[in-house]
Amino acid sequence: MWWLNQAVGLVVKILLLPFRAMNPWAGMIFISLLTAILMLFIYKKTSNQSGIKHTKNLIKGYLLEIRLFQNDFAAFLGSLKNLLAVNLRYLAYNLRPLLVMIGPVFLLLAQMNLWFGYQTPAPGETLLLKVRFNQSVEIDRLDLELEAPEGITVDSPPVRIIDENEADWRLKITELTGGQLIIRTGEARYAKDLSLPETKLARLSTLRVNRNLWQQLLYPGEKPLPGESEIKQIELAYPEARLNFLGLKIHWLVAYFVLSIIFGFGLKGWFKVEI
Amino acid sequence: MRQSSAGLFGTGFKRIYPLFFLILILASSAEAYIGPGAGFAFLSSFLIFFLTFFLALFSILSWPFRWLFRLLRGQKAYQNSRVDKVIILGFDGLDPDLTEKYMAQGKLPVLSQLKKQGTFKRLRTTTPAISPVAWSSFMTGCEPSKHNIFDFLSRNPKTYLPDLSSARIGPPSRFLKLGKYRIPLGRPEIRLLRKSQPFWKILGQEGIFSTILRIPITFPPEKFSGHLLSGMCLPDLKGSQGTFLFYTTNPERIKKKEGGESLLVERQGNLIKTFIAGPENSLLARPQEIKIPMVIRLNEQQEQVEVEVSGQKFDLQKGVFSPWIKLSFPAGLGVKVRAIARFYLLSTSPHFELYITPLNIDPEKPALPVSHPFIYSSYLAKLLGSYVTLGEANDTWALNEGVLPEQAFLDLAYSFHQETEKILFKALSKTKKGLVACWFETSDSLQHMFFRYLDKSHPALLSTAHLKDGATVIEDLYKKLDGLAGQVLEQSDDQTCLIIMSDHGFKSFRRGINLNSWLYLNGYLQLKEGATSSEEWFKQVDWTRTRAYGLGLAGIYINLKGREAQGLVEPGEEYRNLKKELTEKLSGLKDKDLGRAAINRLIDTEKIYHGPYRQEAPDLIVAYNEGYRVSWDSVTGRVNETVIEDNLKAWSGDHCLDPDLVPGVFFSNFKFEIDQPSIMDIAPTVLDLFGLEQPKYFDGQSFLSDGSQPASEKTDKNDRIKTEKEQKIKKANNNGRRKRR
Repeated sequence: MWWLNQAVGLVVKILLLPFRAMNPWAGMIFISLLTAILMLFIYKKTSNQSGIKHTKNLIKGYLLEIRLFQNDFAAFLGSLKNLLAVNLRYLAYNLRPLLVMIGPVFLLLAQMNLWFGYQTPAPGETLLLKVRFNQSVEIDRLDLELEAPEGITVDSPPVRIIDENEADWRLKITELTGGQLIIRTGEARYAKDLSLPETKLARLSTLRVNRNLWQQLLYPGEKPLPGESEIKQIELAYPEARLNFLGLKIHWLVAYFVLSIIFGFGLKGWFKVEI
Repeated sequence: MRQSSAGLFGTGFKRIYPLFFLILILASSAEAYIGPGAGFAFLSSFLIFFLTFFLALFSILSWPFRWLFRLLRGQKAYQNSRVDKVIILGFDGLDPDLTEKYMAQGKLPVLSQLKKQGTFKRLRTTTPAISPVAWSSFMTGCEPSKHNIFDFLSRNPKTYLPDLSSARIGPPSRFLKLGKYRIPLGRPEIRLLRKSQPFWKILGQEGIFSTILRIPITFPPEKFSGHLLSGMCLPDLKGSQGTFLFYTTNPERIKKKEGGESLLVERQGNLIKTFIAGPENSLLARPQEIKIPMVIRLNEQQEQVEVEVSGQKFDLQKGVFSPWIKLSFPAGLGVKVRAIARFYLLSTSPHFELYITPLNIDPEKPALPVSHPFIYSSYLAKLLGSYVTLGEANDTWALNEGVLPEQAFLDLAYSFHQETEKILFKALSKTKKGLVACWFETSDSLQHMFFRYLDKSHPALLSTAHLKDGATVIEDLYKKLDGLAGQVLEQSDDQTCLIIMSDHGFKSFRRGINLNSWLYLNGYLQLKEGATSSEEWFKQVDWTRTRAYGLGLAGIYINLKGREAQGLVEPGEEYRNLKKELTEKLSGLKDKDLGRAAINRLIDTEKIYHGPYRQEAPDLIVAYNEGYRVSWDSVTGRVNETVIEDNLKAWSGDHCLDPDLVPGVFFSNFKFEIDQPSIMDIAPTVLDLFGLEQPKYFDGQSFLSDGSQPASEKTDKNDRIKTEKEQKIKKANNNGRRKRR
């Protein structure tokens, strides 16, 4: 899984490289456009295009039928029933492309979350580091230590939340830097990437997870923790990023959803895809 | 310290959760991530759910208001109605002699049953017995001089040139010139020339809903309370009544084709680059045809080609029609004119030959209104697929001109027939009460083209009849129509009156009479100095010395002073004397080769027409004897020295003869006690069946006007609704009508 994440991550990194110094909207528009084209291609190849076209025609036909027979209540109800039935058929036609696309898109979205989900905190701000242990570990007896790279000050001793089996540190940023946070639990040593770049668009990994496949899919930013690790997750709580649209703060997923749909809709004629 | 939960499914995600919650309900959560693909599908689907809900709500809430509105307008639909529904199947040209023959042979079980249990009569047709005339009388209940349709063509008295009799399509009156373009500042002129009003308009005024399908002379569609799909005389995209396209690499096959265009194409290896010529681009200051490129790749071994046109690629196998192909003609300024056509590969070697049907107006996005309401044609296309819109759909000219083989013509005609059947059954399924009238052209076209197989003495039989089963084409057609009648009858309940009718019958067309040649040889028509024959449309005719001429299928016009541009016959006595003279000379005109009368009589329209448009009618209508008709040359204004000649075309059956020889048929599941019914009686009968009063201008008479009640074999509803009040209304109506007569 890690190698797959690495490969996808590298592609996304190369694609977004020219946009690092720009407003994040630029990268978002570019990647939305690119994926819209890719998805249109996949959609065209994997869907029943003639079936979709026919079903869409039926939907439009039944809508016109409702308009044409508005004075005949029985006819109207019949059209309504047919309309709902073909709408379901239309959704069913989308299942196959959906199944094909869900894999690559999921990988891509997890990577995009690294780039657009969080922002670099400013010097002087604090960050919370949360280390979650396996249930078998008794954290109150653990000897916990944290090493931070230069430019980061460990602002508090570890706070142990017994119920959650979690230990938290507060970190203070004195200068924008990068490196690794090292957590020591007795003899064991675990690292967590820390990245505080000055660019407007940066890849920030919030979570390092264990070897659970689902977790690795969702959080591909770092190599998973070793198999025998007593730690389940290490989270560095970067502040969330929002895209600014005329003063509105928009979640990147919404922006991506809307943009990719607009591009998809706009380009479907060019690529002769029936959606 | 900012408290934030990291990860894709952190708090940020939770804030937009409601959006995705909807996705979870309506489709699948994953669709939210798919963006342009299924994400868009989801959005469309959601929109449809929303629209459906909105429409349902609107319909339910507005229902009481609409009911009140109808009440306030005084519509009392069905209050005195004897039936819930009337279905009219118009089988154009269904001949009573052939019908009786096949019924006697037990080949038409449904029609035989109707004859036995309901009504079967010969239906008197109009004078002349031509479809546009007869169907106009059917819908208006009037004789031709009240609806102004006397033929397919009408003559322009100013130019002596033909016009389409039923509709006029012209450009808008004002334009804005913009470089090479001219932007229309108004609507084009699309005008129906048929006068009076169809009876379904009267039904609509009383709240009775009608669906009228392909009935002739309904283009452009008129507004009324119901749905209408235009029929015969609806043009193709080029504005003609059907122009097929023929592509060939064989120079010997290129000659002028009636009803079509031939194009010599050049083959480069396996590639042919050519074009499809569409309509004239009226957006250009100097209008020219819009052409779209077409590339054809030949595969001789497999006898197929790949056609690339209008952004599509499709394979075409020899001898198999393509489905409807959508063609888009760019007119500039972002305007596209859309057509549909079907392709047929005739051969790949030694010569490539391709046939394309006339460019039908795309019913989904019509360039001209082909239905009422405008969306009706689109609705049918969305639900049933593309269908033929050209008024005279069956390409008789392509067969006549030897472009389409007989079997291909049959296949195409029956596929169009099937499309109309589908439309009919869709309409029937949506009509619980009201009128459904549907016209079928197949019966007319097939009899025109295959009658020679029934007539062993037909002069075209040897040279044109190549079909192995040709002798059974017409019998099979009648059986098919009988089957259709059966299917419709199955969908009819005892409150439904089914009428199956034709506008005229059919007879063999063996010999053509060139009236213009006769008029020329007898001194009534003069050619210009030195000319011995005229080209098409009277090019060499000297109008200053011509007293009479024939144009179209119906008859003879007098070159009348004050009416025709160069008229010389004085109105009054001279006019009447000339008509009398022509009548005497032409009635009983002998075909010397066969020793029999070619013309039975001439009918003076002054004596039979009494309506306001009789001035537009031919002055004399020629009633030809069986086996004869006006010749092809005479129809198009060609004058030569041959008066009677053999008809050597595949078009071998006709009905443009003495109307007494070609009555239509009338069948019904109701028993009507009638004698010699006329096609003009249908409109009053339908109004009567729905309990409505007859307009005074009707020339037809209801089949119930003698006070008789229709009787369905299945029902006694008539007894049930015969209240005392209705009887009184009925009696009063009948008295009024008798007085008018």
